[in-house]
Parts: sequence; structure tokens; C-alpha cells
Amino acid sequence: MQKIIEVKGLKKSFKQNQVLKGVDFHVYKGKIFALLGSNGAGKTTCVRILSTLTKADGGSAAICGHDVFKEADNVRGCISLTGQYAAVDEILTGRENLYLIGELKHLPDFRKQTEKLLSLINLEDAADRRVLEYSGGMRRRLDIAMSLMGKPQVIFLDEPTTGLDPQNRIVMWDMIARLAENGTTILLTTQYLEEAEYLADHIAILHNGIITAEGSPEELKKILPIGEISLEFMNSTDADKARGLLEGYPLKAGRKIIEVSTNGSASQLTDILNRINDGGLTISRFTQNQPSLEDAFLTLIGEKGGKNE
Amino acid sequence: MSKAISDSYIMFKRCLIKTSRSPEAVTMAIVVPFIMMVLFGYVFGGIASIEGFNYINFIVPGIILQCICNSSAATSLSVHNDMSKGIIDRFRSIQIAKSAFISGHVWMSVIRSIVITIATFGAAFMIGFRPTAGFAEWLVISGILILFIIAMTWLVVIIGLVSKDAEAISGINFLLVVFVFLSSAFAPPETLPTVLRVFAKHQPMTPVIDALRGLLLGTPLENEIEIALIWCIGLIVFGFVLAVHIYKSKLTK
Ligand SMILES: Nc1ncnc2c1ncn2[C@@H]1O[C@H](COP(=O)(O)OP(=O)(O)OP(=O)(O)O)[C@@H](O)[C@H]1O
Ligand SMILES: [Mg+2]
Repeated sequence: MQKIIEVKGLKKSFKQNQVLKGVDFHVYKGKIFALLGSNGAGKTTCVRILSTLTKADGGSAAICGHDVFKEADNVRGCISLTGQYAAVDEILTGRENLYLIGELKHLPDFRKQTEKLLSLINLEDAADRRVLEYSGGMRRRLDIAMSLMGKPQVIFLDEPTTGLDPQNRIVMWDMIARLAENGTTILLTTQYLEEAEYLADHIAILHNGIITAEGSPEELKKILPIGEISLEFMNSTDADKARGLLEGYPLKAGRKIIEVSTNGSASQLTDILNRINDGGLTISRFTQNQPSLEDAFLTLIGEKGGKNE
Repeated sequence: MSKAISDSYIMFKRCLIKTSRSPEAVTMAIVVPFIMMVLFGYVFGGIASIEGFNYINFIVPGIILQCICNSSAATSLSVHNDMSKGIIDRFRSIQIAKSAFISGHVWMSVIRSIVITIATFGAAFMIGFRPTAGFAEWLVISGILILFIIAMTWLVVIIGLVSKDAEAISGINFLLVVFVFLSSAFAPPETLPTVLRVFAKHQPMTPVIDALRGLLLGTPLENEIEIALIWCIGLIVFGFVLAVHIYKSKLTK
């Protein structure tokens, strides 16, 4: 498989603030790659360097076989960027925004592409209204459509779903997944593990300026504490009893709630529920805890947080 | 080269659509010259009298320059808006000719100022402006005005590039208007106190206004035309170099 993005030892500081301390990763052609990181991790910085907007201090990066630092113009010809904040012209209409990009890219068929994109993002009805009147979700969709003009080989999406409601988020996910089916390579950044898991073929976690972990969602799942469940009982006596019954499992007990860490397998789950049942206790509420990104980091970088102790 | 031209044209078209979408701004740009002419011509015309001049004839060059400054000010704001919103990143990440962004704004600004200058002359004629200039004089007048407009445009582009926010922009642009007041626009500098007089005599607005006045009304001229041309061309070169430098350094942060 062809590596279409290759990043080695990428470094960037803003004055004293070392944001990227040596980032390495690569992306294969036609795949969806997710760069996962919390606020301020350096995701945007990374994407801006790769899309030739910001200069790096060190390291190397190549896209479509072109050196990002030395052949910026060639790189621009093969990528497109959807930044974290919608880069649309509010005074122009949706259609005019698309025309503008099509003309600047000198596409002979930009009108035809515009119509196709408008239907892809489901914005045909609003196409001739000024973007000023669009909702956040509509702007975001237009923003992405502008990036799709000219069918670039590589697309950067910086937090494409931040600020969207759950329904629009699903629509966006579908759209991104369909792009990848057509052979476009996508590098997206996100703060949500869930989103990376759903969309990406490969996930890299950016933390403290380096990639602390990477792999397919399945590979990452194995190292993430995903099997935490929480059991709520009628009263603290029951909860105490249950704690005795669950000997052997790492757990954290509250007054009426017990949080148990499992390996996520069905057999462990059955075992736990059986033990409680056999002890004659009733669970008033059962929930499976979604691991937060914070948990993931803590596990990955080996700083045992208080949560599982 | 042809890419630079076509990209600049596309960017200019964008600015043109945006300008035409704000009818208030367009109307104001046309109405303000009329108001200024009427205000200065009738209100102050009654109390101010300048020997040997019809006051309306006297103030036309100053009003023209003031309207050009007003019209250019809008350019600062649109450059600033584009630079501070994400749209500039989008333009940069596609292979657009480097000069296209700025030249689109410059073209728009120059053309808008030319239209407003014509409108201001129209307003002046309506309230009794009667120049004596012949065809040759009008050619020189047009040349000076176009150079002045280009010079102002580069200055306001710089203001748009360096300003932090819209308030700062309107503050700095107000200074341009003050420059017009502290010149020979509304009264001969000889009537001003010493400090202001020295300032008025050595700033670019005065020779431009004196040259225009001489050409329009046929009053005697020494070397005002040459000084005006030197100022305008100097400002154009200075503004161009500085604007390009600032633009480039902003982009390679
Ligand atoms: N132009 C800049 N000047 C100075 N510091 C900057 C600049 N851009 C980013 N930083 C700093 O770099 C760090 C990483 O910022 P970056 O925007 O890359 O993070 P991010 O992962 O995209 O965060 P978020 O999820 O909030 O978008 C932050 O500490 C930020 O303050
Ligand atoms: Mg960011």
C-alpha cells in the first residue's frame, strides 16, 4: 500500500511553548486517519503545518511524494483543508462560494461540480441564499464541500463535527465515510474517541507533543479501559455485600454505586451478574461507562489515575 | 503571469459582489459627497471668504480628497475581515497566485474611489462649481487623482493588514481625514498657527490640493504639480513595498 502522507520527527514551538516534540506517523492512500487529542494537544498546529500554512521548526513531511516544506505549491495541488473554524464567505451565497473555489482552482467543469456537491451536502434549496443566513451545520457542510472542489487526493478535516448536534454529526460521518469509499485519503482530527473509532481505519493519539499510541480501532480498544461498568444498588448495605461478592475484580465503591473494571468480554460480564444474582442482591441500575479520552491517555501513558484503584 | 492576472480578476469579482451586496455602503458613498459639498459650500461658504475665490470653487479639491479617503477606508475593513477570518487560510491552501488576494482588494478600492470621485465632481457642478480647466488640464487632473487614489489604497491596505480590530481601523482612518483638514483644503495654510502651518505645508495633501486647484481654476502654479506627483509616486512605491512585506511576513508566521 502506498504511503500518501509521511510525517517524521515534526517539531513546532510557539516561543517557549513546545507544542510538537517529534511527531511521527504515516497515512496510507484511501484510508481515514484520525488524529485524536484533547484541547491544546497540537492537532490544529499539525494540520496547519501539513497544509503548508504554518512553518515547522524541524522534522520532515511529505504528501503525495512532495516535500511539504520545499515543494509547498505541489502539495497544495494535491490537498485541501477544512479548518477548525468554517472558512466560508458570509456575504456570498452557498453557490457563489463553491464557484469561487472552482474558479480559483481553474476547473473547467466547476459549475457541474458545484451542482453535484450541493446535492451531496443537501444544500440545493439554500444554495442561493447568503451564507449569513445559514445555520452552523449548513456552514460546516458548505465548508467541506468547498474542500471537495476539484477532487483533491488528500483532505484535512480539523474537528469536522465539533459544534454539530448529534443528528448532523451522523450526517457528517456518513459523508466522510462515503468520501473515503471513493478513494480520497482523509486525515481528520477529533477530541472524541467515539468518532475516531467509528470513522477511522487508523487512530493516532497526540499527547504531550508526541504520538503516544496508534493503531486500528480494534488494536486501541485492547489497551483502553473500555470494560468499566457501574452497578447501582438500593442501599449501601447491598453495595457492601456486592463488593465482597466481586472479589478479584478491580473496583471502586461509592455509597450505593460500585464501578467495576472488566476486560470487556461477555464472559466476565456474565460472571459478575451471576455472582450478584447468586448472592440474592438486586441491581437497581446498570450502566456501561464510556471511557473518556482522559482515561485513555492515563492508561496509555501509564499514569495510573485514581479511577481504577 | 496569466494565472496571476486571472486569479486577481476572480478575487476582484468577489470583492465587487460583496460591495454590491451592501447597498447602504454604496448609497452612503454616493450621498456623502453631496452632503459634504452642500455642508461646506453653503454653511461655511457664508462665513468664510477667500480673496479672489468663489468658496465653492475653492473647496472642491479638498472635498474630493476627503471623499477618496472615506471611500478607501472601507478597504481596510474588508482586508482586515478576510485576514482575521479563516477564509485567507482557504485561499492560501489552494494554489492561488500569491499576489491575487491583495490585488483583488486594490482593484476594487481603486475603482470604487474613481466612481466616487466622479460622483463628487457631479455634486460640485450641481451646486455651482465652475472650473475653467480645458481638455489638457483635465487629463493632468485625472492623472494626479488616479495616482493619489492608488497611493491611498496601498495605505489603507497596510492599515487593514496591521490593525487588530475594526475600532483601531476607524481610528487610523480618521487620521487620513484630519490630514485633509490640516492642509490647504478649506483655508490657505497661511491662516493657521505656526506649528500647524509648517505641518500643512509639508504634508502630501497640500501640494495635491494646490495642484488640482491651479489646474481646475487656472490660478498660477509654481512646481505644485511636480511635488504632488513626487508625493503620490513616492507613497505608491513605499506603500506597495511595505504592504507586500507585511502580507508576506503575516503568512509565514
Ligand atoms: N499562532 C499561535 N501562537 C502561539 N501559540 C499558539 C498558536 N497556535 C497554537 N498555539 C498554541 O499551541 C498549542 C496547541 O494548539 P492547537 O490549536 O494546535 O491545539 P488543538 O489540539 O488544535 O486544540 P483544540 O482542540 O482546542 O482545537 C496551544 O497551547 C496553543 O496555545
Ligand atoms: Mg484545534
